Amino acid sequence: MSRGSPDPQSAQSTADMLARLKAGDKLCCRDFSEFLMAYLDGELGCDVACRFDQHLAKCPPCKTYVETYRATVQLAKESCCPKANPQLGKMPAELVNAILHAVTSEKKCQ
Amino acid sequence: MSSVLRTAPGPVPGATVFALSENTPSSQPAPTAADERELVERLRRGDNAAYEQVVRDNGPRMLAVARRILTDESDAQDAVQEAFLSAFRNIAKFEGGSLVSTWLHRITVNACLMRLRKKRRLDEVSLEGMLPGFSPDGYVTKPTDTWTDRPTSMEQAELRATVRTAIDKLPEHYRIVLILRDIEGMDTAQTASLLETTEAAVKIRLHRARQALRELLDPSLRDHPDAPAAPSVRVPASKPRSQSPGA
Repeated sequence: MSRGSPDPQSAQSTADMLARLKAGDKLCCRDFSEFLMAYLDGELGCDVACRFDQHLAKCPPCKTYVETYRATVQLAKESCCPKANPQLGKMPAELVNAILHAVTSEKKCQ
Repeated sequence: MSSVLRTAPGPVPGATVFALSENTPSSQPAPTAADERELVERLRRGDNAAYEQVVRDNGPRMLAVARRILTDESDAQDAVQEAFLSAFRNIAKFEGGSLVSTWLHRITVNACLMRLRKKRRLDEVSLEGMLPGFSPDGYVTKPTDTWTDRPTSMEQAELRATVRTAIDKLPEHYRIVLILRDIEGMDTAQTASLLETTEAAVKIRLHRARQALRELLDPSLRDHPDAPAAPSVRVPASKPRSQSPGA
């Protein structure tokens, strides 16, 4: 991560960013990237969210970054769902038998 | 089988032998409250048929969860066995506030996390080099490429395999949060509780994991593969970032 990056989502770092913006600092791409999840989750206050909206409207790289970030989340979900991976939920008969054997053995020991 | 846990020599006396080799996650209708109560009562009485039913109905889904979290097949199977044993051992504590399947899901995730902790795979690892970088003044200096052609440029199966491979490349510390939040669908509070950390730390790790996964996928999915990846300016870190607890 680049030098001096804040931890996104922490109340302190959000407050720090808000203070910087109020002091006249521009919202830069690094800020946008750092607080993107909070922005998408609606966790930033209206003032900050508006600044994000404005940045997004005039920064094509950040606009594309948002799109690919969202696509990443969607791809992760799709790629790991059982429907996409029928093999993922196939349970070997040996495992079923082993589990039942272990359960039965444990009951006998009680 | 190499596992020390799975030592079944053959059919279990008093238990039906299953042939579930083609099992896939169940798509059966959700049980009614009355069904659930009856099932739990039978488990509490030590009814072998009830154990069988629970293993048959929930095993495939639990194994799928374990396989997502633990990349080693033997570990995943051991974790599922541990989860079932733990659940049956503690059935008296099941209060009925959730479905049995939900309860088993959580126990399975816990069993998997215990395995990762034992192997110290949840130790913090830096994501340096897997996160976006910026110019010294905080701006992207080159256009970020779009992924608009991804549905047609790559076969679906190949695409999914690429994504799964990229997820497996994430450091465990981050991969596990991505799996629990984005794939298993747990909320931030549940994930924080399972990982014994704060909700803020979960949010930080999730965002970092998504960013890193995006970076890992970008070379395969960008519309102009020959173009340099953006942002191209990476600021060398002069000192390690201080991270909040658990981040």
